[in-house]
Order: sequence, then structure tokens, then C-alpha cells
Amino acid sequence: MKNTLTIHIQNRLSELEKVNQRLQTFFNAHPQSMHVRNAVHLAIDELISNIILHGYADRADHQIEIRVALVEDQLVVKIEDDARPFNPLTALPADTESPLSERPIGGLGIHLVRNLTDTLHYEYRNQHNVLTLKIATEEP
Amino acid sequence: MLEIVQSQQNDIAILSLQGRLDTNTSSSLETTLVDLVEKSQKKLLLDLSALEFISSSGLRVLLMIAKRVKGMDGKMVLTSLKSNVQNVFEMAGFTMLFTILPSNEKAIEALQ
Repeated sequence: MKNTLTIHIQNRLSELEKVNQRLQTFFNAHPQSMHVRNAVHLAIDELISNIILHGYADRADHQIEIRVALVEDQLVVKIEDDARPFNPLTALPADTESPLSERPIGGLGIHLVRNLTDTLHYEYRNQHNVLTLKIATEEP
Repeated sequence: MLEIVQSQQNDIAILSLQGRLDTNTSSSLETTLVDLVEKSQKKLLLDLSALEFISSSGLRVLLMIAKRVKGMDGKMVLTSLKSNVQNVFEMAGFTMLFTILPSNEKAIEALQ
């Protein structure tokens, strides 16, 4: 099996199930540790749901492309969409320390993505958000 | 897919979660938990031993319910988190917000 997985989905949350299944098949062919698999699943789930829920000003159909590549000792995930420009690197840090009564609800998605990835690179080109994540692999 | 198996032991509501708690499934847990809280169920035990995956939408539901349970002087305990779920709790700073115990027996003791 090739070391690259490309998934095209529409901007509907129901498509996440397809993404999940394709990732599982990819990891069956290219075994990774539980930690790395969870990081890839979680980062993609968070970023794609963010794009679908908050990215579009219209109700039209849009395509999102997800590419996962195994390059030497890294998993490289590239997400490309035509939603409004959004650079996750500029999102405010999440509150992870306040006690229960003061802890705000929400805002943890991007925080998790930042914690799960080793590098995160964003650019806006040709009216598309292009986000590249790198996660170091480890012995499965 | 998320399966929620619900049972009652005396005044403790026990919910066993199996599968994935993500953007698509967290609303079903929210409905179940809100329903219990609105019926003034004060003691909740969430068995997470078969929970394979949690995303921020799952964390959101747990935090919202924890606040409501605290508001009515109730208690919620989580048990048997898998290592990847535990890791997400740690990244989110959630381990300080929840009572997390290794087994349902210990949780029932703590809730009594």
C-alpha cells in the first residue's frame, strides 16, 4: 500500500465517519503506536469539525481535502479547504487551569491540536487554507 | 459510534460508554446526561473503560454536566480511562476537575 492517503469529503459532519474509516485502513497497512494513531485521529477530527461548523458563510457544498503521508519518521497531515481564512496558530490559548466553577466551556479543540503535533504550519494561498501538521512516529 | 448503557445502583446512575465520543456522538451523551440532571439525579458514575476516543466535543459535554452536578450539590465520578483518553484529559487540564478512579467498585464506595 502506498505511503500516502488522500481523502476528499464534503462539508458535512457525517463525512467524519468516512475519514475515520479511511484512517483506520491506512493504519492497518502502516501500523503506528496507539499514541500516534490517536494524535492523528484527534487532530483531524478537531480541525475538520471546526472547518465544517465555523468556516463557511454560505450553505453551499464545499470540498475539503485531507492528505496523510508517512515521510521517514513523521506523519505529515495536510488539510486544504476553501472556508474563510483561519489560522489556528493565532487562536487564543485555552484555559486549562481554572477551577470547575470558572472554567470556560469550549475552546479546547485547537489547544489539543497544538499539543498533539510537533509542528504546525499555516498558509492561505489561492483562496484556500492550507494547514500542515507533523507528528513524529514511534515504535508501534 | 457511541453506545451508552445505563443502569441504576441504589441512588447512583451508572453510564457505560462504549466507542467514540466525538463531534457526531457527543450530543447523544449530552441528551442522556441532561435528562438525568433534570430529574435531579445527584450521583453519576461514568464508566469509560470501553471508551476508545474522546475529542473536545466530548470534553465539552463532560465539563457542562460537571458544572450542573456541582451546582445541585451532586457528585460525578469517572472510572477506568484508557491511556489515550487519560492523555486528552491531561492536555485539557481536566484531571484536576474530575474524580477519576480505577474501578466502578471504588467509584461506588466514593459516591456512597
